Amino acid sequence: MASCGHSDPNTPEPSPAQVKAAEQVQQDEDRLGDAFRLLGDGNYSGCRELASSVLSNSPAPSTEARAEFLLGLGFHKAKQYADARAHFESAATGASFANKVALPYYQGWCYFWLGELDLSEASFRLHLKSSDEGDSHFGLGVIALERGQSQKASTHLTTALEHFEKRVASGDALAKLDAAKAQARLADVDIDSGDFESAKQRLLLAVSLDSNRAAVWYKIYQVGLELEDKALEAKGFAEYQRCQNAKDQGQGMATESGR
Amino acid sequence: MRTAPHLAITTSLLLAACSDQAPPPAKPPAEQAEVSSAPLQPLFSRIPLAALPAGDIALHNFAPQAIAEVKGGGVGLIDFDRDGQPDLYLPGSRTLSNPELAPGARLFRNLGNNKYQLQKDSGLNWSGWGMGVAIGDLDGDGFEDIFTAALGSNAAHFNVESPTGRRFTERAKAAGLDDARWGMAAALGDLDNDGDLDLYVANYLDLDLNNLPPDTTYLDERIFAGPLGLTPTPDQLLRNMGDGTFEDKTFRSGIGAVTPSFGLGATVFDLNEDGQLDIFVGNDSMANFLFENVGGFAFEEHAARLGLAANGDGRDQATMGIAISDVNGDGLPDLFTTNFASDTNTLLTGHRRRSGAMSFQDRSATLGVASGSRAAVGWAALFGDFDLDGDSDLVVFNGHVYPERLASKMGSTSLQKPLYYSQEQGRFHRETASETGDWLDLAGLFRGGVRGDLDGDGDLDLVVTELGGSATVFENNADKTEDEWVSVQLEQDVGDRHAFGARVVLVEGDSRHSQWVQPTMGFQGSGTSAVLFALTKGISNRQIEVTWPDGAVQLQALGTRCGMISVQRSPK
Repeated sequence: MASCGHSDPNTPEPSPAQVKAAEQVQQDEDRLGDAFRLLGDGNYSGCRELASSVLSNSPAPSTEARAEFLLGLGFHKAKQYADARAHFESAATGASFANKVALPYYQGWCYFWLGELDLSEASFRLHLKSSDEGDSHFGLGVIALERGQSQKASTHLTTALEHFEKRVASGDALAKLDAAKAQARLADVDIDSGDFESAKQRLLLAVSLDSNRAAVWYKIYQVGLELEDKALEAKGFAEYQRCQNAKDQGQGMATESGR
Repeated sequence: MRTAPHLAITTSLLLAACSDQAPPPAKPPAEQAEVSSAPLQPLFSRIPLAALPAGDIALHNFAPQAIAEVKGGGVGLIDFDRDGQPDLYLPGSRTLSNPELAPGARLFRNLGNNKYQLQKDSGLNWSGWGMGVAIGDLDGDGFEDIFTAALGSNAAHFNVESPTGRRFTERAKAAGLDDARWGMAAALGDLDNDGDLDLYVANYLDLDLNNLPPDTTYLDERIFAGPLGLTPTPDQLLRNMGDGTFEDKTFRSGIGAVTPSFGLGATVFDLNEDGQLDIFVGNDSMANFLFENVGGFAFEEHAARLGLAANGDGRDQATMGIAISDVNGDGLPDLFTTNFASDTNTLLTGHRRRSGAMSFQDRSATLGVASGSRAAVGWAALFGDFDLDGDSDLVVFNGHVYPERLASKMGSTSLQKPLYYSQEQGRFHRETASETGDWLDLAGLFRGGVRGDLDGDGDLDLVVTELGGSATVFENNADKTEDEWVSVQLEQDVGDRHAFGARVVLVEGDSRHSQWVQPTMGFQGSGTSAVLFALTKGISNRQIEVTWPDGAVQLQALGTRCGMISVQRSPK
């Protein structure tokens, strides 16, 4: 019985070549795991080197597609979006691999930063078909903002915010950062329509969730000026400068999603 | 009092085209159908480079060795002989690898009908590394002079009478205009309302061409250093003493109190309509400046408070080109800037706060000029009603500073095409070559650019420079009849003859269309000072409202007049 660890007599023993191939696949996958860890450490070039070395070794189709994805991520995180795009597209047309469902999300941001809004929107929508996550709703909201579609932006960003708030409620501390950025983008909609009071409330909520976003403090400063709220203006400007100085000194500050 | 040639032209055009006669009858349906099936008439036609004699540098293998090689591109329109036709001035750029190919400063006389001839005896015997151009009557003699910001000593060419006609003589040192720091751009305006033109020079950074800073690495590619990491140079403000000489007032005016920054552009306009011209300065990778004129030739820097220091996210940009227009018809100035690749161009619209104070808001995305510009390195930006449909259009000329290999890593290209936007329902729509002609398919290393009606047909033509010195004239084919437009040239009897910074409003019934006399334009450019409006058919009670630079307002009935007109300032 299989459950007892005995081999099925009807299943032929793998040939030495098959064993070797399986070992090779495992080795490649392990190296891609290392590449992923390097990505998490911010070592994007290291990630790319490992992924490239796997690709140069004629990997199995699913490993090849995963390596293309990781190579693309290595470029994407380094903001080399043109190179990232090519590898993402290669991964997208390749074989299935674990976590391939996340690929369209990254493609969505990659296309966005390349100014390809239609492709970006299609990617986020594709991602949402397999994974109803706030990140891609957020992406659709930002695209709508870029297109001047305030109502549509508000709808997508509100949906994104609901997703992020659920994650916050379930104890996901990182989701606070996402909720902050959604609040800040919703404030953009308010500012655009001249509703500075609503923008103020949203921006203050945003900095209560993530106090290290220079852009949000800058908007608080500007909203303070609009509302002639001197305390808000002063606080916004001081915190904006703090965040700017921290950035200049090389401390990591929160950035837009997908970067 | 001198009679400007413009006035003579005005009279003839008025007689020819601007009677009270009814507009031409509508075409019959059959003819309309024929027209609609005709091939697309491009909005602009490129005047063949053969029309501009040789002497330009061709950068076939674009591989700049230093930041200096990617910045030059000045261009100016100057009616040096006051024949009513804008002539073309190119200060001349350089490269490090082929200094012998530097063409030097050149003047191309406008012969009419889009023909230009190199003016060999112009007196422009100057071979500096030219950057931004500011054209205006520096010495108050009634003729336009040329200031050229340069990498090296700036140049001031004064327009003088000679036995062979008008020519130029270089007198920067005598005029106090020969600062040797890297001048990038310059703007003229009467900043103290004394009638003459004062000068702001945006300086860039310290660069020793004989001892270049070591290359750096970007996206794993070796590339020239700067601007970040190099030392920015303070800007300079010069007060015109009324006799063609200038005094450096940088520090006494308060301008020198700011952190020196990498200045790329400057323009002068009355931001808050207080009758005192203010100065906006675009800085590279640093916060922009807005020097508010507080009177007495004193200025305070308020860009951040006004929302002009950065984009809407508070992020410093690489502000290159600057353009001002009233894009939303609220009568207030809106400010557009071009920026680096992987960033967007920025449109900051002016509005009044509750207190009545001016403020600017980043509406780049909302108004449609953001995402399409991410791959572009933008330089000359020019507003104008290019298609004469009554609203403000926008053209942006682009070109990378990096070679192709590095540009492609950024998702961009080295040679880049222009961007052209027209307005649809209050939002800018990016037009394609199939909509407006193949001039939009022309890719280059574009830099400086200006607009002006070069051929006197009532539409705005363009002159654009490419890195290395080439210049292209784009003739506008809007081809409207003369009852469909009015070109307004302001005139006053002072050195600031054309009233730089004045606001001109075309009032048509309840509609008001605002423009500013803004000869500093594009990038490193100085264009014509006439403002052009499309006229709405069927309206006869038109007026021109002028707010002169000192705040005085003058209203002049236009009636059914059209074509080129002059508005002479009423006695104070």
